[in-house]
Amino acid sequence: MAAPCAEMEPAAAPRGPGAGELVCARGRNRKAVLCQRCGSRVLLPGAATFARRELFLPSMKKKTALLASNSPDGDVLQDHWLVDDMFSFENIGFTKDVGNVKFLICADCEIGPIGWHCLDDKKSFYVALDRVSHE
Amino acid sequence: MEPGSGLQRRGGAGRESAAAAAAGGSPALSGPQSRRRKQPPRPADFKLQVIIIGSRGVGKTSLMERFTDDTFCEACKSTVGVDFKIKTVELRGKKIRLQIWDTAGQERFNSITSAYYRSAKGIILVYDITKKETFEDLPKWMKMIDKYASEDAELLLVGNKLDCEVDREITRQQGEKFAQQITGMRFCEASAKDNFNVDEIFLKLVDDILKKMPLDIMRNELSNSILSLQPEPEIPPELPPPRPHVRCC
Repeated sequence: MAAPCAEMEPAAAPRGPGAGELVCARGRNRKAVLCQRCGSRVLLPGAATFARRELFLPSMKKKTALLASNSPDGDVLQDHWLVDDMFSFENIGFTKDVGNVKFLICADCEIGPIGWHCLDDKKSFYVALDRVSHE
Repeated sequence: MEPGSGLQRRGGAGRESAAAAAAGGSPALSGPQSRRRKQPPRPADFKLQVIIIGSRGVGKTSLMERFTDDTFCEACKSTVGVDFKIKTVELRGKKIRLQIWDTAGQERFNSITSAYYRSAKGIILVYDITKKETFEDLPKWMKMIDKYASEDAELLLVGNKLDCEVDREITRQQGEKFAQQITGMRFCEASAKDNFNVDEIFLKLVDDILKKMPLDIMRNELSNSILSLQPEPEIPPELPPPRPHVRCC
């Protein structure tokens, strides 16, 4: 799982093609964040800031797809949307506690994890860019 | 979390967009962004806590879920379990954030902690129209509500599984009659499978809650420190004063 909630790189643009389209000049999400599968609206534009942090998220995909991929258990993901208040979300689900962590899932179709929250840091909720769509 | 007060008028929470919206203007942006800038997204006006209770198998969880798909497996949800959800509804020109606790898996009456009831502004009590025993369990749930829930809580009785009309064991009239005996309890039937009336359930509940709200609303902070009601929060478990016997059974 992730390191204790102390270290975080200063916000930077996500790497990869087209990444600059997602983050506005103030570091906030330019587009709405949606569930990849059902389109449920997770965040409105501007509701979150981009944050880079190494977080391990268990895999979201079905077993047959997992066998074909390289990371059967999950992925270490770097690029996230960060909010400091759970009521900033339009729609989001929280799992029960896994140790001192809760995972975030889609509120409507419940796939996940799409995000991560450590109970030790009450003001940080992360949504992985790779686990959501943008519109 | 303060007892009985899941309500907060969202104002100076310090979010840039929230503050900007309150100030009536957009956050300062450099050149290209300001030209493209539309109305800043409106933050929520209110937040409310809702719980869904009822006997095993009545379909409580299904009311909260839109549909399933084969591409993904809900590994996360089935291995870890869902704690609660934040959902947004719009009603009467207001944007309301609901924090919804589904008590699936805790159908033993005394295993659902009093804290669940205490902070709920809305309680959705579900039975299965095709299973008489789930309807006959309702008085036991009402006892829990009477004992632990805030007097202000809005109640909604839902007869689920309307798609199984052929197997119906409880008539609509029976459901209506039960709700009528309880002050302020509304009733509807729904089918989570067909997605019939499901959104209406939450809208109905929120509508009732909003109607009762005083014009001047106290600013109460809904603490983020209590994310999960397991384990029991640190508030001493005081029961609310015994409510007058306006409720049935």
